[in-house]
Amino acid sequence: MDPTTEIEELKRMFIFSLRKKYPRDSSSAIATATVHLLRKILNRENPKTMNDLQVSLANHCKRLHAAERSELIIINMGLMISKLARDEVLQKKGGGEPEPLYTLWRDDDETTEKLKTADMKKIKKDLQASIKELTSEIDSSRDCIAIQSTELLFNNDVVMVHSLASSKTMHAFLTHATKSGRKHRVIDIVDEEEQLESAPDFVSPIELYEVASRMPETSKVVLVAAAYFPDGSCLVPAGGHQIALLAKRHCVPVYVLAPFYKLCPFFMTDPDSLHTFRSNQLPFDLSAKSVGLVDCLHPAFDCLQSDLVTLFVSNTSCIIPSHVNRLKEDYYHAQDIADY
Amino acid sequence: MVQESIISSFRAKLENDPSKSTSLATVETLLEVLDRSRATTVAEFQNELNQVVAALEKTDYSSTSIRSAADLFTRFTSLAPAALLDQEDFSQVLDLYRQRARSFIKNVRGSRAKISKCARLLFTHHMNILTHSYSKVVLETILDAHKSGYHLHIWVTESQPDASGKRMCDELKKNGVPTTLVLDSCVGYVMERIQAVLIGAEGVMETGGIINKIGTVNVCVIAKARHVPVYVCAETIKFVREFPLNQADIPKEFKYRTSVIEKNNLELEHPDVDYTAPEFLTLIITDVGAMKPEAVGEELIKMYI
Repeated sequence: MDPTTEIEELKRMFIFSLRKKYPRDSSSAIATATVHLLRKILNRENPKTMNDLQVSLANHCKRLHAAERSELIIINMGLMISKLARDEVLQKKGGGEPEPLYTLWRDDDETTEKLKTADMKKIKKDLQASIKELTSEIDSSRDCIAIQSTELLFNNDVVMVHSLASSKTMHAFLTHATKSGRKHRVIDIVDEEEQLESAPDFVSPIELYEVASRMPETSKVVLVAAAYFPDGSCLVPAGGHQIALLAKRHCVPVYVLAPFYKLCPFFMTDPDSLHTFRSNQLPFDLSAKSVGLVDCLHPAFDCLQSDLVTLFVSNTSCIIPSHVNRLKEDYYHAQDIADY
Repeated sequence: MVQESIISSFRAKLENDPSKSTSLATVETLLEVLDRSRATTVAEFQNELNQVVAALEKTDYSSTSIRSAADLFTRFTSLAPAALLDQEDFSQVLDLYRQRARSFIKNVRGSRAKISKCARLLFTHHMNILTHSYSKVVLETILDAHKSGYHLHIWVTESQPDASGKRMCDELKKNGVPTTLVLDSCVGYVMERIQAVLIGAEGVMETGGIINKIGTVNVCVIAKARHVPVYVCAETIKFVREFPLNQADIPKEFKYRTSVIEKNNLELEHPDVDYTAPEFLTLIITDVGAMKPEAVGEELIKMYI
């Protein structure tokens, strides 16, 4: 099979696998799958220069993201790999990267030109190795976040959590705290009534409308991010905004679990553009009769502004919202973000 | 005297090309000084520059912009590789400076376009945007968005005492952007229909706050009270190492024109600019990308330490 059709086939399979799964796979699984896909694509395309690599990565990621609008992780992974390639080239050449303000008097065109024509053959092996490192970082991030639970949760804490059923990271976070002997109580906010029975035994499940009455007794709120942004805002599963507002009202700290692969390098100014909707809740015959007359919105996410978040629990450390911008620089290159 | 010819060329640059920013004219003037320079040591050259900068600040153009641009330009004189500085022939060092200065100017010229591209994410269709006073970078950003098909309605404050908002309004109308001119005292009244405030800046301070045309702080405080986001468009060349704590703490030369200061009767004068603290700003959009006001200090530290 020729490489182009093979790549198209790979991409199609990837999108199908995303769409087939309901409920959605965990984000770390999707991140790993994306990295594997991009690695395979790079192997088959075998780009000659840095420029080829970046153009092809950006194109593939744009196409994949257009097919699955709600998966920001695809873009994140593409840009991270692009930065890894840049780092490899620079390391070969020696000499660090100029800081943003220094670039004012560097001849940008010249340096980018050099970087663009860099031969990829020499760094191919190293790039493969660093991509492998990236996957292992993704794999270990859940454990890294879970370990930090002992620094954040203490005896006699009353912890309110949301979307425990759908987030494995949250589950790991709470189990780790319990296992290490913390005597805290967990209140879990469930979205659907069935989950009231199926909740794990260490939590007391409540429904969203009860949050206001239970908040005064709560000492900590833990949410899980679907994506977070350099300005310190984040997307959380729908319902999170009310919880965070109530927490602010009662001066309860809000921790957001945020593994690095969910850090989206773009500023999100218009939350509406990112709102994706879960399936329509109207029964089929009813929706057939009421076409265009009844709108049943069921958003998947809420946007939390940075002032509502106390700490982001990333896999490396806990960071305050205004430091997310620094974290972004560790994983992404400014030029890649500008070009995208 | 050499000085006078330099100052007049600085004035000519700004008068001949109304779209040129004071910062760009400053660095271009300093490049001229560099081109003519016959200095034989770094200290001598810096001395030469300092004299010109002091003379430039005596003109009635924005001292904030002149100061920040000149500081950044002077900065690279201390960044030449040590091996080069040790050499006998100082002209080689000057050549390096010239080469850097040219890329510097090229980058500064391109920065407005970069900001405009970066700011594109902020716009949505049928947005009502409030802006204050006349700002070249805001004007270009809005016109670019308008040309690429965004339906925006711009509300411009009159911005007395020099009615620079009127100029902004005329420019926008000339280019077909639906624009409404409002009174300065009308900001509280219109704010409920505004989706975003977009302003320029004369200087971005180390605190992350900005110094801009008088009245900016009123607009930003009202916007904050109504939860309207405030976006500032400013080139990185406008970053200044100043740390004002309140309005009274703004350096005098930033607040008043030189001709006013020379009258020695500041009690009777109105300041030209005010300081807007970082908590009233949402994002600062620069040519190196959008950043929160908190990140400005960090960028400056990277630059000057």
